[in-house]
Order: sequence, then C-alpha cells, then structure tokens
Amino acid sequence: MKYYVRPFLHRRGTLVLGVLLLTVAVCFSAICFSAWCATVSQANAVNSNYVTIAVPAGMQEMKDGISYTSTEDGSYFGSDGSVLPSTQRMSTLLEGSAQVKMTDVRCLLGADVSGCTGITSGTENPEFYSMTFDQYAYNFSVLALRCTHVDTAELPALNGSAYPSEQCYTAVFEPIAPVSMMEVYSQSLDQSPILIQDATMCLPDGSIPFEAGKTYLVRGFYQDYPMIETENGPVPSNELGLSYSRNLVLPTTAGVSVMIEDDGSFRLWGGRDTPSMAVSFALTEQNLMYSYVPEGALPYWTEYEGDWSDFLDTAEGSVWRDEIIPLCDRNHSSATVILTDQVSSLYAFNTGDASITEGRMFSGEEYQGGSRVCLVSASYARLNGLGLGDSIPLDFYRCEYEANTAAHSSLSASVMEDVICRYPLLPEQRLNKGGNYTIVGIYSIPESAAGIHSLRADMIFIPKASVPDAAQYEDSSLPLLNSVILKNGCEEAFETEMKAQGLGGYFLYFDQEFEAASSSIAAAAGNAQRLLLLSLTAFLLAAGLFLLLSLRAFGPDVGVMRRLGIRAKFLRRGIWEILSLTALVSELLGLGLTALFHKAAMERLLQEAVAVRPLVLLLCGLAQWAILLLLSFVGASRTSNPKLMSGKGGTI
Amino acid sequence: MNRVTFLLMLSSLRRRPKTSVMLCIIALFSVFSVVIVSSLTERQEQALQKTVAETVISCTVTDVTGSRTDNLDMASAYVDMFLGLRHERGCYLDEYVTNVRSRATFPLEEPEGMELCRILNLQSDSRLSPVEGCQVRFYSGWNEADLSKKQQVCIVPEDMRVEAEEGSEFVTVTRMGQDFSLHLQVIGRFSGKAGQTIFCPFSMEEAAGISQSFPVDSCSFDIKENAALAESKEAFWDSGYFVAPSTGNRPSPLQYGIAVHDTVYLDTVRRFENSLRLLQITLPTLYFLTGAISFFSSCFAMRSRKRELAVMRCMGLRRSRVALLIFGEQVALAIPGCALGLLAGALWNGSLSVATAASGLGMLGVFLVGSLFAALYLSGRNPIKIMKTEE
Repeated sequence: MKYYVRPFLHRRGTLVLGVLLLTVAVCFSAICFSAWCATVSQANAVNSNYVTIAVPAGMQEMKDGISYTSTEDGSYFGSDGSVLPSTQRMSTLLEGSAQVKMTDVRCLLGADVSGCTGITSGTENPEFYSMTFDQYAYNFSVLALRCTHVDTAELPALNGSAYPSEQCYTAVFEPIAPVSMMEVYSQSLDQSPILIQDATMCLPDGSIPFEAGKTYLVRGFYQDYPMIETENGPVPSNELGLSYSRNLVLPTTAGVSVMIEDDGSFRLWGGRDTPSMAVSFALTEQNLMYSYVPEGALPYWTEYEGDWSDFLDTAEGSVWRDEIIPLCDRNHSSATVILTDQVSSLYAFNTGDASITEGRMFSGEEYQGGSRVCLVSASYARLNGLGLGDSIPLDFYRCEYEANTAAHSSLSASVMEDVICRYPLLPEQRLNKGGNYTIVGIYSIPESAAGIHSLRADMIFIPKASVPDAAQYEDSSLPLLNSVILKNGCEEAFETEMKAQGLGGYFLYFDQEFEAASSSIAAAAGNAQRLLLLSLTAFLLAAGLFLLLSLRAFGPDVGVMRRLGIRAKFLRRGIWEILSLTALVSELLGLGLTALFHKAAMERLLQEAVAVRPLVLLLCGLAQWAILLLLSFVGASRTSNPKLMSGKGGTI
Repeated sequence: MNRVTFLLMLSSLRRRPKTSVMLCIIALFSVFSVVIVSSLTERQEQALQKTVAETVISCTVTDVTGSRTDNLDMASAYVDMFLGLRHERGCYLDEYVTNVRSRATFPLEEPEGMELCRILNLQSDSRLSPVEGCQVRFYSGWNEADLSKKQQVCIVPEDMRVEAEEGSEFVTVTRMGQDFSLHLQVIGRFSGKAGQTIFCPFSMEEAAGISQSFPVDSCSFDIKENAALAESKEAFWDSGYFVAPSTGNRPSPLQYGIAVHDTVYLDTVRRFENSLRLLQITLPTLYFLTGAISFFSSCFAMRSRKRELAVMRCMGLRRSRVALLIFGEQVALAIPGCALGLLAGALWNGSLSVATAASGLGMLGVFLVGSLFAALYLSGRNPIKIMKTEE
C-alpha cells in the first residue's frame, strides 16, 4: 500500500480538501438521516398522542311501526333497513374492519386499599348524597341497635296474582353505636331512629327475628338521608318533603326467580350462596315469600346483652369481631378499579368532562409493560392526602357490579339516570393479586354526573397488563368499559363500512382534535422523506467528487506502474485500500462531527426526543462506508486498468 | 472585465466541457438543495400554523382543588366574565375565551318533581348529547342560538303536557322557595334521559330588564386564540378569580379552578417546533457544505489549468485579472446552474415562494463566495514554482 500512499501524500492539499469534503458530506447526510429518524418518530409520537374513538349514539331501541326480524346472533333487522346489532355481531364487524386500531375492553374490579378511605357520594358535600352511588360497598355497616317496636305487613305481589306476595315487617331501632360504619354516616347517626323497613329477612322458620326492647348487632346496607344547609341551619331533607328515610337494608327477596307452573302454582329459586352474603328463600304456609340466612352462612343479626364491645370479646361475638366487622371495614377502604389499555379512549376524557389536572396519562410503555401506575380522582387524592408519586396498595377483588338507575342529586330526586353500582368486596371474591401502585396522574370529573359513560370519583385507573390474566375479567357489555379505537383520520372510511352494514349514523366520533394536527403530521412525514433523499444525493455527489479527484491523482503513477509490468489487480487492491482508509477517516471524522454538532447545538436547541441516537448514527455510518467502499472499488478497477496505448494512461 | 478576458473565459469553458458541466451541476444541486430545505421549512411552518389555528382547546371550570367540575355553586357573575357582560366593572375574560357552555339547575315546585335548567347551548348539558340518546327539535323559527338570549323560552321533554295559547305552547314554572311563577314559551322538545328537566336560556330575565345572579353548576369554554394560549392562561390567573386546579390548593368560596385541556396540543406543537428547528438547523449546514464544495470544486476545475494561469501571470497579467478570470468562469457556470436549480426546485415542489427563491439566491451567493476564495487562492500561487513542477 505504501506505493499508493506516496502519490496521495504528494498532493497533500488535494487529500486534505478531499477528506474535508467527504467529512462534511458525511456529517450533513448523517444529520439529515438522524433528522429523518427523529421526524418520523416525532410524527409517530404525535399520532399516538391522539385517540380517535367511535361511540354508539345513545341506546338503540326498536321503533314503533317497524317490523323486526331476528338473526341467530341476536341482532334485529328492521323493515326500514335499520339494524339493532347484538354484541356478537358488533364485535365481528369491528374485528373485520381495517379502520379499527383496537377495541379497549376494560375490566372493573374492586380493590381493598388499606390505609385509605373510600369516597362516598356525600364526602365532599352532604347535599350531593346519592344512595345508589354508595351502595353496596361504602354503606355496608354494622350497628349496635336497640329495637323499639316491630310492625308486620304483607307486600303485595308486583307482577300480578301469579307472583307470590311477600311476608315483611318494619323494625324500628334506636341507634346505640356505629360498630363499623363510614365516618360520613356515623356523624349524624343519633339524629333519628333507624328502620329496617319492609324487610323480608326472617328466621328459617319464617318468624320475625327482632323483638322490642332487645339489643342487636345488625349488619346491612345503611341508607342515610342528607342534611340540607338552609338559612336556619342544617335540615334533614325528608323534612323538606323528599322521600328519604334512614334505613338499614337487609338482603331481600329481590333477585329471586319464580317459575309459574301450568296449574298456577309457582316454584322459587335463586338467592346467594356466597358464605358471607348467603340468602335462601322459602314460602310460608300462606304462600307468602320470605328470605332467611342458611345454615353455615354469616349472620345478619345477633342478639346481645350488655355492652356491645364486651359481646365482641365473647365466643358468640367472635364471628362479628373476626369476620363480619373486618368485612365491613374492608369495604369502607375499598375503591373501584378500572383496568384499561387506553385511558384517553374513555368517552368522558374525550368530551372534556374528565381531564388530568395534575400529572399525566399512562405512557405506551406503561400500558405494554404493565407498570404499576395509577390515576386517581382529585377527590380521592384529597380525602386520603395523596399526591403524585405516592403509592397505594391495591388488593383486587372480582366483585359484582351493575348499571343502576339513581337520582343524580338529592334536590332533584326525580331525575333518574344510569350509574355504575359496585357491590361489596367479599372474601371469596379475592383474587390474591395486586401490589403497590404509584400515582402518576390526578383527574377531575363531575361530582354527580350520571349516564352510561359517567365516571365516579372512587375509580382508580390502572394499566390492564399490570394484572395477570386480566383478559378473563373483561366486560364487553357496559358502554363505560368498552371503547372502539379507530386509526386516526379513518372516521369517514369506518362510517362508510358501517353504513354498508346498515349501521350508518350508529356511531359518533371523537378525535381529540387530530384533524387539526393531521396537516402537520403529513407535512413532517413528507419533509422527512424529502430530506432523506436530499441528503443521500448530497452524499453521493460529494463521494463522487472525492473519488474523481483522488483517482485522478493516481492516474500518472498508475500508468508508470502498469508500464513497468505491475498487474492491474495489485494496483486495484492497493488503490482500493488507500481509498477505503481515507474514506474511513472521513467517515469517522464526519460522524464525530455529527455527534459533536448534536451535543453542542441540537440538544440545547431541541428536545431530547430529536437528539442523535448512537445506534442510528452507527447504522448511518456503516451504510455510508459501504457505499464508499463500493464506489472506491469501481473507481479503483477503472483507474488500475488504464488504456496505455491511448496516451491517457499517464505520462512518464 | 474586458473583451479579451471575456473571450478567454468562454474559450476555456468550451475547451473543458466536462468540468464546466460538473461545476454547473454542483451549483444546480446546491441551489436545488437549499430550495428544497427552505420549502420544507416553509411547509412545516404553514402546517404548524394551521394546527395551532384549528385546534380547539377546551377548558373546564372546577373547584380550586379540581375535585369536581359540576355542583360548583359558582355565581353566574363568573360566567358573565367569560361572556363579556361585566366590562363596565373591569371584570372580563371574553377576549380570551369563546363558545362558553354553562348550566344552572333549580328544583321546581311547579311542575312538581321537575327541575329548571338554564343552559347557554345544547353542549352545556351532557344529557342533551346524542351519545346519551337525546334528540332535540326546535319549532319552526327557533333554534339553538335562542338559548343564548334573554327571552323567557324553554325546551321541554317530548311527552310533557303544556298550555296552548294563540298557536304557541307555554309552560308555567315556579322555582322552589320562590313566590312567583314564570310563563315560558316552549320553542322545542327533546327526547332522552333528561326527561324531568325544562331547559331555558342561561341569561333569561325573570322579570323584564332585571338580570339576577344565580348559582351555576358547571361551566366550560374554548380558548379563543391558541397562539395566545399562555397569555390567556395568565389572564385567567391574574384575574384573581381563577387558579390552576391542584389538590394542594386551599378551598376558597370565591376562587375556582380552570382545567385547560392543552396537554396533547402542547405536546404536538412542541414536537413540530422541534422538527421545524431541525430543518432550520439543516439550512446553515447546507450553506457551509456548499461553500466548501464550491471552493473545492473550483480548485479542482482549475487544477489542470494551473500552468496556463502561471503563463498568464508570467506574461504580465495581474493577479487580480487572473482571479477575475477564474471567478468570472465560476459565475458564468453558477448562474445557469442556479436558474436550473430554482426551476428544478419549483418543479419538485409545484411552486416557488419568494422566501424560497431568496434562499436559493442566498445559496448562489455562498457558492460564489467559495469560488471567489478559490480564485484568490489559485491566482495567488507563485507562477515560477508552478512552471517548475512536473506533471
């Protein structure tokens, strides 16, 4: 190679200029390549920031005057061309649509959050107490009561004569102490008697379990009535003529199923068989229906004498002390947990009803990696003195829940709307899953909003992947727990697809203002491509110039060597080696310059997101060097084999 | 430049067509590159401006801690500030907000079991949303805009019985605890879940010419000028009536929070501004590269003519004349190259703005500066030394 270094060194100026030119070209193309990578990743990141969701427009119902035919999958096709799709049909349609990015089928679990207090409807403002919101978790209570009197009655059958009437009673109690009760209720416990009203829960033989003058420990679902602040001080709302009372609700015959036989008689079945909430049903001799606690199940009441705390220390009271009271306490520190793959696809977060006021949403990595992070409501955070970065222990329960109709505030009791009601956490529903979750965001929501998509302040959001086997808890029936996420900018195509299936106008679309950002995304993507093309051309041009110049420098010497009998392949190898080495030096200098340039300028001017990535730089450098090697080889081949007889093969 | 020099220059260019074409191509590519990068920058700027102008940034009024966005119990005077109705008191924020949505609810004694809801528009109450299955139809001659006026009108549930008077429908409402009734003209009907609610204009006067303050449940609005988002926020906080909601704030009966839903917007703008800066940084790099290439290629083109230049110098041609000769050749090649570069750029982009053309001409200047340095360098070399050097 030394033979070939000399001609190069003879032209030091040319060599330096050549290396400099190539270095600058390498640097420019590396910057452009890095810019292309950064811009593409920026455009993708922006794209992923936006979520486009398709939400079914209201509850679809059958219309009068239209005849419907049903299909095997449970869908109904109307004579006017309308379709009432079943869940199965809808899920098939969504799976088959190319416009659907994913469907976020969420899970609703209960969680015991030890050390925290559950949030009830009246926590912030007693005026906005909602009985439906609080039951059946937060108002699960144990009270020490003294029975003052009991009235018996008969509840007439609701569904006609074939349905059995119910044997019931109303027991009136004087409160002694809130043994296990949320503080928000216990504050006003002694203000009026407590009723167990229209109860059907009896002893197994059908007799009424309470007797006037005796004291009892009773567990049930406590229904408070709110105190209204007036000019004359707080006044119970029932005094303002609203139909609220202070009750302790025991499990009733609600939920029991009745089968009417051909002869007009009926059979009952149903009830609960979970040990902590077991209820059985029976009929009296007069065919009146009542419920009772089956053998082996936890009691709903126990008669005691003396002080209730002394009773808890007895053998008879141990079941209350060790099982029932901890069960209630657990519900008082419970919360509703929503497992999701995309919080921002929730309807409320798209309409502005809900928003992150502190912290942030989950990142893509947190969703995918199942990080133990969570979002809590501002009310919940305030109540428990929580802030960003704090950890809360979540112990998951697969509790029951349902969409219920509730009065959305005490003052407008007649305005009934759908809310999600979570039932109590029971020991047998414990999943033995959970852990400490770090709060990364705090969200704000309407306090008493209702509707099929409304959120509750007791909801904690966590990434679905953070709970093992979460798919088994998915619920595709509740609108709150389902979101159809479309590819951004595909609403029209999706609507066309749905129209073809008879579902035109079935969905409403929310794109978080993606449309406004789409022009910038398109411009960035287009620009990145053009920039890459430009840098590649610049690099090739500079490389061509460098080689042309370098190879011309070899021209005279190569002619001499060939005339002296040195074979072309040896010359080619030598030239190629020296050119490769020079190219490598230029490459290293160029990449170093790029790195310095990024470090010095770009990271200061720009954000970390567009700073150069070593791997990108390395890949770019390798690709450039490979191109230079190839071009050098081609150039060396041509130069090493000059036309010696033409006079252009160099001069002696 | 005299005629002889000019002819000498032209003959030199003709004698070395390959070198001339190469220099011309370099100039063409340099100008083309800068035109492309400039147009990309311009395109990105325009797209960003469009994004900024078209994005709707909504804001929700909360309590100071951000715990709730409804049940605010906020005096309607606060909403009046957003609507610009309190200019005479110096309390107004309507310069910064638009599309205000607000709702105030009152239980009614008559009709019993119903509530009266004051709204500014249909978006003020989520129960009127199509997602909740609600459909609103206005009677002929009436529309949603009438809800933002002061007249005593209302929309009622589809199945509600009303009083018919002189071809119009009316409903009499009495708020709980008030000893007078309002006779509201029905201007539309709605179906859906808000079945026990009568909706009336937010600013409705209960008595002619008298506007009453009342507690508001919820309020939200959009930012009027996104470009002035920071200024708008500052105006909210400076007003003293609003703060950024935080669980750490002390509850106050006179202050409320405003949750500005700008996270995605700000992130988008930040990312695109970065991309823009990236392009802006690329441009000077390109200028530097072109200057270097220009110098280098000029030297290279003249390399084979160094004896010729030395002979010229030996024959008495002054250095400046030689430099001018070399530079003139470069100019003669660079100008058509630049023109072709601009043309190619215009064809690539489909158009050529003045700013982009100016960048292209700037690049021509840089190219010529490189050539000038090369000309000075080449003309300054010792002719005797060059003549002594073996080829």
